[in-house]
Amino acid sequence: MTLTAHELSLAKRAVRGDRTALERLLAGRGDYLYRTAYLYVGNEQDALECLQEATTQAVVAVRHLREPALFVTWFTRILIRQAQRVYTLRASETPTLAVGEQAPAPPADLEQHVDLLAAFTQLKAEYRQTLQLFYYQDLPIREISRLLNTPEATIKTRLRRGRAALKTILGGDYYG
Amino acid sequence: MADRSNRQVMHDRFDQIPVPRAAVAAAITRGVKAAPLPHRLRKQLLAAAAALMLGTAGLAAFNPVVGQAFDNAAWLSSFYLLHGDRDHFNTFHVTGVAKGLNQTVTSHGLTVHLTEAYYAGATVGVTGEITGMTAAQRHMNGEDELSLAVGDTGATPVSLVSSDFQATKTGYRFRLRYDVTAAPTPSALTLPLHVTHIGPVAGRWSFNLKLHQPAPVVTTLGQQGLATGAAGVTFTPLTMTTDAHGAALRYRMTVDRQRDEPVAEIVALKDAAGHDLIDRRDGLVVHDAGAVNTLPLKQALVSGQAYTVTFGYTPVGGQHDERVALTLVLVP
Repeated sequence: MTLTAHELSLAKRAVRGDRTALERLLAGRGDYLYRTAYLYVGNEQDALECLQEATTQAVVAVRHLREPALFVTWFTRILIRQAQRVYTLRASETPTLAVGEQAPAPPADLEQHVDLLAAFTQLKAEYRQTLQLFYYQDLPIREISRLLNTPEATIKTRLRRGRAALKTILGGDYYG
Repeated sequence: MADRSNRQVMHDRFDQIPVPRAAVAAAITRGVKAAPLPHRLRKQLLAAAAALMLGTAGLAAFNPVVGQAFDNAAWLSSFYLLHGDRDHFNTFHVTGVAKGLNQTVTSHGLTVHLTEAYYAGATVGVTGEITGMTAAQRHMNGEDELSLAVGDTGATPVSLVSSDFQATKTGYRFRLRYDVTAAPTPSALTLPLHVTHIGPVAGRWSFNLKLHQPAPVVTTLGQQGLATGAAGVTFTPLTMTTDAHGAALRYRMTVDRQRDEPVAEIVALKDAAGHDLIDRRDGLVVHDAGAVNTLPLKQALVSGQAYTVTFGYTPVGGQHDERVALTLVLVP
């Protein structure tokens, strides 16, 4: 995830301890980061809490970031791990959450948007997580395997089954 | 849309998720504000530290180990306890596992003085003090805030994982904690510590710390794989290790490859009295299916005694965790 020149400057300052720079850097990528958390946990409140907690963790750990150019990628990993913790916690509290009961409420006039998101949240949790990390975070399978502590073969299986499940829900011609 | 990839289609759809921007900005701001500031000047804590030193000085007369620890630097315990003995710095300081250092390097007007270091189990801790900083150098961003850039450790198998700071009149006190990544951990280690920046000042403050610890006592266990009760999940205890850091059980958890995914993990390990022996002071223990894992324990398990190991796992097709318990009796 390439930083602009201004973002790179902010990232270097953040690594040196400038918290204002870190805050501005994260705010500039707020849409992407929020959507990342939201796709994982399925609701606005948990997504915001994940983002807040990940920010706190990042402030403490940023001084160890060796390559400021990788700041957004680095922070996204922290955010996903935090979202994974929240997701696991909620799954143990609310058994039905894993099937996406807390679905987002997309705008009614974006029918295609409704189709995909509604279908996405109906997926089995493991498929949803893997598809998101692959298609939205653009992570390679090896990275997803490491992040979820799951073998690569299993990740590939989830991707295959998740895509098949989406097609079943949406209809076979969704991808054009 | 026919000629666009699946990735682009999904990306575009996800990018249409509405974002509550004001709430997102507020969450980020709260997150920044919530981060601890151990390096900020706290006059009230310095006063409390002085009181602590006066209160504990009497211990030196009764415990020669404590006396030796205090000879190193009067401020060490108070500094460590600012953060609740995180990473066991104060414990090792008081028990004498940490050894006094007296290494100093000055560069560009700033002096780094290494005071103490410990090497215990798979962790290394280094404590020191920086002096000679001007008020302008200390007040980066308009407040006391230290930025300490530590260079690569080269071929030494360590990874810097945490750091803490406390401001003083002319600089900072600091502590660094490293994890040793080699397995098994060596009994002797040379840690290259190269500081390249202190706040806005670039310089070269280099040290080579020679560390050693007694070889751990490792007992190889004779168990074959034990069925856990979770379908397809087998638990094999491998070794019990005792060292200065504590005790650890190395084990392997294997999963039937017919399963959808390996999700079993140890959630508790209790003795006959019901006490959970898992040491969680260093955070969550993450299990890696199929590999050899290390479970830190508060005390070593005793061969011949029975322990209850509880596993959490997700059944194939299941949506949430199940629990199953196994009685473990170690065989040397």
